[in-house]
Amino acid sequence: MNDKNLKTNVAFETAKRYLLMIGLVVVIIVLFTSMQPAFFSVMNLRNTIIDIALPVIVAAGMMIVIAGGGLDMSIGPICGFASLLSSLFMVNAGLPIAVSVAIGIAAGTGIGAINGLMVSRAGIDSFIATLGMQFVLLGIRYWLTGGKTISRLPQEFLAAGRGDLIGIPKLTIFMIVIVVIFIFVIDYTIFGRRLTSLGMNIEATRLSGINVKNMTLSAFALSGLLSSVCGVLLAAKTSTVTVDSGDSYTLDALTIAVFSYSIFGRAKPIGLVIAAVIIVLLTNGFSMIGASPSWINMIKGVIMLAAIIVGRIINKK
Amino acid sequence: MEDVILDVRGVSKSFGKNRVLTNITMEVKRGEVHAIVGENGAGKSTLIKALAGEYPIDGGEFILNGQPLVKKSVKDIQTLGLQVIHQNLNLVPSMTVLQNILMGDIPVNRANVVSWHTGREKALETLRMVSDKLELDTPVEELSAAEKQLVIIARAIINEPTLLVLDEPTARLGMEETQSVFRLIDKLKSNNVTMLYITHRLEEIYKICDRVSVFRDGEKVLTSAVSGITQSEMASAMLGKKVTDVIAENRGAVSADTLLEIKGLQYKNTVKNISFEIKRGEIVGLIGSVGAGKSETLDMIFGSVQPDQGEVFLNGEKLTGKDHQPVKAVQKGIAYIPEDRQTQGLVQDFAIRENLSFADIKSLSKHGAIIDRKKEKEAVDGLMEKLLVKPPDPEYKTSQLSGGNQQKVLIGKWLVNKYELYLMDEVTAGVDIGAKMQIYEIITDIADSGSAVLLATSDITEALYLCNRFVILHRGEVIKELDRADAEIEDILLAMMGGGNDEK
Repeated sequence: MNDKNLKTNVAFETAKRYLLMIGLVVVIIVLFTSMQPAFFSVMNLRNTIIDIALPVIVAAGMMIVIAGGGLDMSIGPICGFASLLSSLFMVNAGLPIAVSVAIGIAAGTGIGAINGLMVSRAGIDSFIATLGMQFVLLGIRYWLTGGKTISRLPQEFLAAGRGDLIGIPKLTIFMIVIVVIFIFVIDYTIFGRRLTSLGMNIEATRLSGINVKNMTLSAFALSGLLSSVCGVLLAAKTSTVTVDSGDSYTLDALTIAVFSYSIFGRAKPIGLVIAAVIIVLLTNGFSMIGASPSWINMIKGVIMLAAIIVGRIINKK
Repeated sequence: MEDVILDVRGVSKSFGKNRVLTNITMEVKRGEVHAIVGENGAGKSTLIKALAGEYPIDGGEFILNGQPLVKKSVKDIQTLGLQVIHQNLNLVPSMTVLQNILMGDIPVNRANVVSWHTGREKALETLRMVSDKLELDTPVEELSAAEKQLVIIARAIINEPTLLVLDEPTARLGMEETQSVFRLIDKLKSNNVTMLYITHRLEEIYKICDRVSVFRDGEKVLTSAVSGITQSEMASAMLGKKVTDVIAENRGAVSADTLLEIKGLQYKNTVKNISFEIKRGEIVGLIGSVGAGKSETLDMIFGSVQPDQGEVFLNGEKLTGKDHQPVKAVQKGIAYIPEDRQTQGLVQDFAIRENLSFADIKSLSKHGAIIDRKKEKEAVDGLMEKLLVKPPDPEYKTSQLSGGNQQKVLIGKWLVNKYELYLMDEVTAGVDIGAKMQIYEIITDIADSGSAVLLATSDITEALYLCNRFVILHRGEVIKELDRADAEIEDILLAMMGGGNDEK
């Protein structure tokens, strides 16, 4: 190792990675605008910041689990489950909105905690455990609804998912609040520090006298919490809940979180937002130039894989 | 006239910044058995690998049988008459003695198909050299450790080398089994095979060798006729004069309070009935070679491994049991510096600051949850200065530090607060001499502040330099306990290698 090699402190390295990602955003905007001038419009930018809101919230959950050294494949189904449960209590049982929402979120968090127990106590690989949970939730959702769509949600509830507050879309405000809390937890709390260490080196964490089982449990519970928050907001945004609502969020969460984690090598909430912007811009851009949806899924997959490879290259010299 | 078979002229070799061989010059005379001794890391194995053509050298040359070995391949060097028996060489257990002997140069028939039969006669002739009893068709897995070693030697001598290198051929053998290897060496010698014999066991040298060369820290310190040097002269040449001078000053007296008491610890077949005590302010060396049970003992004290039997008491309080986990151990004042800094010790992708503050982050926080950045910075800056970590910026990534600096960070991680007991496992492994001395100073400071240190090490120099007392392990058992004042280097060396009072 020579001195040149040592000329890199962590903050500098992180800054370089932010630049890389922002550069990518600029390149995407320039490319699509050259093909379709409407791409660079207030309308599309507004859509973008609405479209990233829910994916960023679930990706935050996935990021917490990844930072702790696992994967959560049940994020979408938990999201749908919380969405369904809250709606059922609101529409069918006629419970107050706040109570219904609280029940949905509590139940989703509980499912996350069960995931956490399977991984930390039973020692099941997180991918397998949460994949199993995905199927369990699928069954429960059919059983609860009989496959029927729930609609006629209360207007006051739907208002939470639509319109602006001080000129900013409400969903985006929810996202900003969650990202700010996430930044605080990751960078300023003991929990965040230990979580970061857990995924990087579980043995060193354990031998530092940290209860790694409880850390893992908390990570999955938090992922469940964020998924159910997303689920409730999704119901408010779309105003109808079907038996498979939210399922697509597993892949969104995975793509965004893996993208950001691969580039930065650790949990960076802002990185999550930029990654989401990139994915959404590409999705919107391809549909605006008339590409077929199958293309768009393929692009997402390619981006995720490319990010992993690029991350490997820039993080392991 | 004396004939030189191998002439080593000013050979140097570095791995990156690490100099492992410095200007080695020595001669091996035809027909002699020449011993090479030195501690772990002294450069013995590197020299052999360089000689065999496995590593390129940076400077100097080897001349074997009059031929310079510059840029020759492993195979070419073998045809010039060199055979090396590496320390960890293994046979294929499911194959027969015959097949294993011929493995280096598998015989084929005219159709280029493997034909063990073709080499059978020569194999038998070679096997009879090493043993009268062994049969060619016995599967190797049915042989004893000593018999396997004989087969390994047979495999090397079938090519009729003029120079045979044996790298610790008796390391895994018992006393009696060692004798059969010695008899073979005598026989080979009378057949005019020159041998380089690498060993840790000093007493062996007197039985089979003519001359000895002592290595230390990548240099050849001396070469002498075996008859002209005593065991303790060899030991002090191995360990270095400087060190023996320093270790002459004994560490001060320690308090009489017992801090840690270990009773009859047992774990699978790696630790058998280990008992000893540690007092406050004491540095106790847990000494033994690889596989003696040192790491397992530390793990059981720390709770990262549960013993099958036995008890551990800290301040009279029993620690062992199901709920004795690292979490509890740390709360009770035990710090653990594990052997492998990469996988067990440090988070490589963390900034140095994050590693240093990691174990004690609670005491650097507000309300036990939010990190107090200012307090963290103060603590970390203080440690960086105290430990002389290079580069001195705590925001550098840990993985960019050299081994020695990483090791300092690994200890520093437990110095934010004071712990009662520090368990350290091979704390200076792979560390250069400068960083080593700094680490020794840190360890001495820890003990002077009243904490106790249990220092697991296979480095005797280190133990002599630091410890008040030694607990010597051999194959999972306490073979000897010694006070620093009574300890002779040879006693420790012998005990570590399973010798000691009852032999010789």
